[in-house]
Amino acid sequence: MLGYYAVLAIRSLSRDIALTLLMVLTIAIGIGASMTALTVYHVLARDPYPGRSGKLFRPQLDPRQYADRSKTNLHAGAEEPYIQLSWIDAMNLLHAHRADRQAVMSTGSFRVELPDGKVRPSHSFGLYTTTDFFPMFGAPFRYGAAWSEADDERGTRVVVITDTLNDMLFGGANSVGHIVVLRGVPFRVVGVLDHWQILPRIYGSYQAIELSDVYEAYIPLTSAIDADLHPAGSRRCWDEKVPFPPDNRQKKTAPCAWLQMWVQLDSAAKVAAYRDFLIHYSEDQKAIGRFQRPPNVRLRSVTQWLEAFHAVPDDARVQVWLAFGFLLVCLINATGLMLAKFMRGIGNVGVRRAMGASRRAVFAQLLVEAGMIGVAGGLIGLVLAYGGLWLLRQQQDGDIDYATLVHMDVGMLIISIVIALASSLLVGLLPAWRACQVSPALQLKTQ
Amino acid sequence: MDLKPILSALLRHKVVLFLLVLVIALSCGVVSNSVFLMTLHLERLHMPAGFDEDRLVEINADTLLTPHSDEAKRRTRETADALRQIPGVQGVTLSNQVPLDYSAFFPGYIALNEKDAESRSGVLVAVYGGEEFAKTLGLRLVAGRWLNPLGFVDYADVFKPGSVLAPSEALITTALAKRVWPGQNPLGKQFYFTSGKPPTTVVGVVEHLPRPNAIYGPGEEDYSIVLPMRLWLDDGVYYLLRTADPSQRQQVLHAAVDTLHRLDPHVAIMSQRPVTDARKEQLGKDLAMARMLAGLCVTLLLITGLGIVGLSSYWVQQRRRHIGVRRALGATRTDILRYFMLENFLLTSLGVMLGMALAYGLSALLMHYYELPRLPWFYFPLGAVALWVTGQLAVLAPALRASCISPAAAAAG
Repeated sequence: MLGYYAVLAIRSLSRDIALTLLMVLTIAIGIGASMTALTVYHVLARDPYPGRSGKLFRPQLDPRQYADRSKTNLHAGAEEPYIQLSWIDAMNLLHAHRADRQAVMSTGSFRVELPDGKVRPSHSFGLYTTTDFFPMFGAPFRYGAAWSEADDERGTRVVVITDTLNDMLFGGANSVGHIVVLRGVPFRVVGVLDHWQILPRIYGSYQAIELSDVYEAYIPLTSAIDADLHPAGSRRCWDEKVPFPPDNRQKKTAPCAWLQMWVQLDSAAKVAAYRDFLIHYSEDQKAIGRFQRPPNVRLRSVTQWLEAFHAVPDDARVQVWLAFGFLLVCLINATGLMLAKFMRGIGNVGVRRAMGASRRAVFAQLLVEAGMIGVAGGLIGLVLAYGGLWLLRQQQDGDIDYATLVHMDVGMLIISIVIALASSLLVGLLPAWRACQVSPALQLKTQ
Repeated sequence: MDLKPILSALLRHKVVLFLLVLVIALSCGVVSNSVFLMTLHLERLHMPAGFDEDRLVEINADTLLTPHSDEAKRRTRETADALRQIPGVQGVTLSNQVPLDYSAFFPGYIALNEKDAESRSGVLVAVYGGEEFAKTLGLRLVAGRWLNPLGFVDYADVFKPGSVLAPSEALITTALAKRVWPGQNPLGKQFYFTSGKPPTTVVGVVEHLPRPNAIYGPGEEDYSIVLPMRLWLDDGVYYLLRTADPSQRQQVLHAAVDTLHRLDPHVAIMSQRPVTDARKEQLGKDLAMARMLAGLCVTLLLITGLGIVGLSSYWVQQRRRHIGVRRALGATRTDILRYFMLENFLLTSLGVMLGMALAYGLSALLMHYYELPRLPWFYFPLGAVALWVTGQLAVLAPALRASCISPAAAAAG
């Protein structure tokens, strides 16, 4: 039966080529535009750390003075505490070992060269961090391994470099044990990372969420600070009279927040306990006079962090709204056209009904016709969406900083196909229903 | 022409009418908001720089010098002098940040009394420093005078812990003057840019000087001050070189990098580019969004137009007999044409009315969720006109076809 309906549909559609093409194109453009926008949104909103994001939390403390009324972050309200920690607080939280894992970090940039001077000095960004960083964020090693906790404590001059830097300095060979000179200080390579990129990144020093991956070296925090590698990025000092000191040793005692921290908490009970710990810690600091305000802490999971600091740019959200408004216009338009098309062929319906076809049979036949248009539109729409994403990726030179990330994955492809099918049925439903309402006698009479 | 027959004819096709009006309304709502969003992005794109950005190149270099040492100061002078000798270079300054750039942002507050300075509740500004900064950038003075070259102090001395030193004078921008001292002459006014220091006096007003980093609310992009501060070679200091001719920028950049390598074989160049590159990178996003929105509007109007063509054709075909009868009864071709045009105008108007309400609602949503400004009133008629024109153009072909229907069609089946 379905085959026969399909033949009927093709015959009917080919009678009105222009109208058919118009309907197919309308649906295709609508699907194409909305799928492009939705894919961009999906890429930006996806979980960057699947399997980990529910376990990683960002502790925040509020050391601000009572009188301080400046906003700490563009996206947050006046109550939002600093997103970074001072050296004293970060070290206290780190050494308390209250979480399953904990890592403190800061971004810096420094000159990179080899001791024999064989390569021209270059400049790299690196992350100064503690050893738990690697298992917490799942960094893969090609050669060697992370440094030890003892290295963190002693400030051993060791470094983990990325495959990119390893290719540049050592031609991709196993460089574990070799020396690289960072800002005039020798560091021993203990590990080389495999290609690894997770974006958006949530532990950078410049913004709460960063969209470019620039790190080429990972260095134990203590050794980096002691070797006078400068931390870069934003920082907040809560005492107006004490600006951020240029000297690294003074940074350790300064009332300035310039370090990021993430902790891993494996159960809900531990999360609650850690929150209590932060509150008690704040109370203690208030008691000894370091903090002024009553405890004001945050302990956001990765998901909450991405939400709070607008991982998805407003532009991308607005685009999704506009694109779906656009799809709606296209679908309603196609519905109108489909209605016109069916009404034009209403004589055939009348004949079929008079010859004994049930209302349901006519309805099914018309739906097949609508479905064919919808499927064709949906397929062309998918091709258009791929084209749209391809165009987006071509804007590489910094126009859109997430451009290289946008690809349609299997999940998005399935969603697209479902939306395309649903749209085509929606488009067909009303016209088919209207058309089969016709009473056969009346229709035949007007013929 | 009497509207009554048109209306009663329209009401016989309620479903089609409803769909068409809905499409026009949605289209109108989306188009007026999109055009507005587009102008917002274009405005940012065409924001006046207020300095000769197309003549400037920036270099960020890393040396192994101990910051603020005598050695560093001596080397700074040597380097700056060597850079000035490069053919095509008109001026050199070492600055803490670059306007419209996206790396660093050195903040300060304009507070009118010490209490506000303490609570940092003044206006957030970008604090620029550097010897010959204003001259190298080509800032334009609109009131007062330039900074006194004898009043320059070391940047590091101002910002070191416990320092009570503050530069005695400052340049501010027109926009900032209007914000802090509305309706008053800003010259001679005093402010605190950080607490625990004596006040600084405004001695000059420059037309524009944008902040770096593009993180600002609407109208805040020009909130900057220039203080008489001297910078020495250190991490995060930018060389800004002014070229005599914009076409020489690449040449000057290469020569400058070579000079830096010659003076210090250990120097590592962190970045080197014409200053306009940073702006292009930053504002390219605005351009991309504006292009996307323009494309959306055009496609949307096209789709709506094609929909009207399709439905009107159907209508014309359905009413062949009626049209034939009217022609037989003496209606001219123009009457028929006018009938369909007027009919389209009526239903577009209905859609536009709904569409304006929709545009208002959409704008309210965008305002609430994305901190966008309210849709200005003139975008409402703009959306209406766009849809009216689209509608009339779209109905033209079917209406012309209708007007060609012969009176004989009255008799045919």
